[in-house]
Amino acid sequence: MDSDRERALVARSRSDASAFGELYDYYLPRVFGFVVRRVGDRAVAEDLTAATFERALGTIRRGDFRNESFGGWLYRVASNAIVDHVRRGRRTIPLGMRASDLDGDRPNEESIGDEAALAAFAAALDRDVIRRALVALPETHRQLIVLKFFDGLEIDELCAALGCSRPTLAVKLHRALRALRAEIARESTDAA
Amino acid sequence: MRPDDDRMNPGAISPFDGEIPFDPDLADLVGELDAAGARARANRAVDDRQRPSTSFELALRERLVAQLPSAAPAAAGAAAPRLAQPAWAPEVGHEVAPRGLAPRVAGRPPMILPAPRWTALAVAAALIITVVGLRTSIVNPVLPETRASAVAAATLVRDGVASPLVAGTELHVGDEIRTAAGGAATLELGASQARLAGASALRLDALANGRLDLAQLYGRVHHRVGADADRYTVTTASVTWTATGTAFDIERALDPVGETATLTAVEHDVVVDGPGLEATVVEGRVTTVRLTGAGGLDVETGPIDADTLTDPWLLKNARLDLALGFDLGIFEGIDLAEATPAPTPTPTQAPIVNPTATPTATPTAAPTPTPTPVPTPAPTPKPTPKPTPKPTPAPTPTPAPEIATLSLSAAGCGGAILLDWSTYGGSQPFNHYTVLRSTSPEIPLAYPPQGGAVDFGNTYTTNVAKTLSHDASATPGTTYWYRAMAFDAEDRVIGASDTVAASTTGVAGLGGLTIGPDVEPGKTRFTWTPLGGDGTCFTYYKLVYSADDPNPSYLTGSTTLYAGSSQPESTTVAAAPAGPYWFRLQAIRVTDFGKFVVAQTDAVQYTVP
Repeated sequence: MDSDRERALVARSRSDASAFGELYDYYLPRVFGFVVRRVGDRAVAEDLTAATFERALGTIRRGDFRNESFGGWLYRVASNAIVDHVRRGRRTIPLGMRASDLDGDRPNEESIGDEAALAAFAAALDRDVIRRALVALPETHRQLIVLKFFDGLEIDELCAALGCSRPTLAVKLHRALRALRAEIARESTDAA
Repeated sequence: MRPDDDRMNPGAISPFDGEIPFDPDLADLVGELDAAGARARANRAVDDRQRPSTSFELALRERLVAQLPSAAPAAAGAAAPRLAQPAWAPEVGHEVAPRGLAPRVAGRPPMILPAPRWTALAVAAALIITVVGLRTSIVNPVLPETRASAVAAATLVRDGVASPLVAGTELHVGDEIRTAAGGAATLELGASQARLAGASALRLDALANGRLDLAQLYGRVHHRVGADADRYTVTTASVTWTATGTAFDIERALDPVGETATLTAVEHDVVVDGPGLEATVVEGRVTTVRLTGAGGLDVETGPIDADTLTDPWLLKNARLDLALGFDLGIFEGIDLAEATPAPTPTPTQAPIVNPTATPTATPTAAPTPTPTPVPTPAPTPKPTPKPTPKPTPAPTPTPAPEIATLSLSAAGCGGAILLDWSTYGGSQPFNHYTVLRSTSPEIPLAYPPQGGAVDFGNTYTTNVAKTLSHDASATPGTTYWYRAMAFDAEDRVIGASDTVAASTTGVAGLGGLTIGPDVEPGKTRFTWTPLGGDGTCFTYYKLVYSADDPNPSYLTGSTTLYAGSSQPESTTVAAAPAGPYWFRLQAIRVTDFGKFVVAQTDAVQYTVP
């Protein structure tokens, strides 16, 4: 969504339900897809998506939005909701996850929700060496690459979702891509 | 320099215009990632599992949008906020001049206390008197009779669970009542009433010993305080409005700057209290307090204006007050019938006839067809004028609109009757749906319901695509008849189904829930009897648990351990937390208007090792 239009819609939403409706119509399928790709279960995804938009509505009604990307803010809230859900999932829904999955190179809690997205993205890659390299990357790099290339977040959305400025995002992306290239080189060497 | 060295040329990253400023030799890699992402997104576009269901999308949309004000078109100016005018404009032609008493707005004066010894004694004495005097009422609080009436498209939120509000529902402290856009609800609080307009919400914070504390969360509410209320307080954010024996109207509204609360003192005075603010708003004044914004509370006050006296919402409430025998305050001397914009009468709606104004029939837009009785003589010396009977020309009936055919299916599920009707596709301008219920097959094509039919309150929607609902208020074992109808903006029927019958058996029992340790360490195995059936009454299972509630339920907020939408499934393995818990598995059905429990197992207590 065009950032100027998005800001105008956010400003109007406090006094015009139709403006919020337009934001909702644009972002709901995206946020739902973002969540369901990470939690797998549609019912859980609906709960988390609803909680995300409920929070967005409350923030809009309080007039707390300033110059931030609304879409990026939604992704950040959804990400936090997923992390909270996964933390609860230590005792709630680790469906299909075996104890051995959590052993060894065990990801931190913040990354668990991204595992499913990572697996889906890896499956879409042509070369096996890139798949292996992507999985071997540090979590911060991996998360950024998945958000950028798999989820297709816009630059402003990435900035808001990751809580950083555009120059900082450029640095982070550059680091992640160089790290991926280095990992590919290492994987290729090992294979040879 | 290592290939993954973080150092880079700062010039490569500034300015950042949305393109990734990396080394040219990374371009191939980025191209490959881009291509993979595009493939993944293309696959997602055709994957229904990654798209929200229509019912979820629409239900959430309606719930959220209802909490925001609509940008009213100019023609519907009556719904626009009426902020205080700078001065009363006498040239508007109204003969009633409200009392222009200035409100007192001042900071709290500092208190000068007497000597500490006497202060201590006074406090002790006050405590003793308070404890002795109030002990009885504390132990046995006197609760007013509280219930809902005149309900349309309203929701009751109790203990975090939302359900359709139906007329006659008894209300408790902590209940939150929300109305959808176009809905309404009246809360009978002893002799007092809180009348909610559409898109409004009110929470009951205290209801005992003559004290009524309400929190107006958003929207517009007309408060009529009865004689049995010693203290009637409405909270809007940090501002409280307190009255004893009066009528006032509060509207919370959002504007580009923030949020405001506007009070119209309809009868007698209202004390407003907030941080750095203490004022008395006298009858006939309008006060707007800015609830959000820097620098403390902004207050704007002034006399009522012509718009206030012709505001349909206030006029409607004045007519109700007149019918109930209350004083009219600022509306005394106003011809309430004359001031009402007269809608076009329709053949399906019987106009409300004021028996004192014969032979004139006065059509009104009021949703409740209560005949207006002769006003009871008021105990105050102020004379209550009767509306001046004025002959009006006989209304010209408009031709009845064409009625399109809707299909309706009613399925008796456990816990509720599932109602699924077809989308209205006629040529008339659609406004909303409502499904009516009756214990006989005759349901007249009219609203308000006639001939014993009732609006059970879970089907009103202005969304033409929302056509799946449920009736959870049906008594198990009783056969009900339903008719789905579509209406235009004047409540004329423009689409209707035949009547169909169904009954529910109540929430079905799935028997026991077998729980035990799984072969895999740290996991627990749960086994139950599947719901069965063709899936009409099933959306998903929820396995819930609670440490202290022997009847855990998904609808009351118990923690979910497992969620699954595979209906024949009968076993799951999950990592439950260690300790003793009550577990229960529930089969849930979701509709466009909410969800209900279809079937459930017994609640089983089990200690997870």
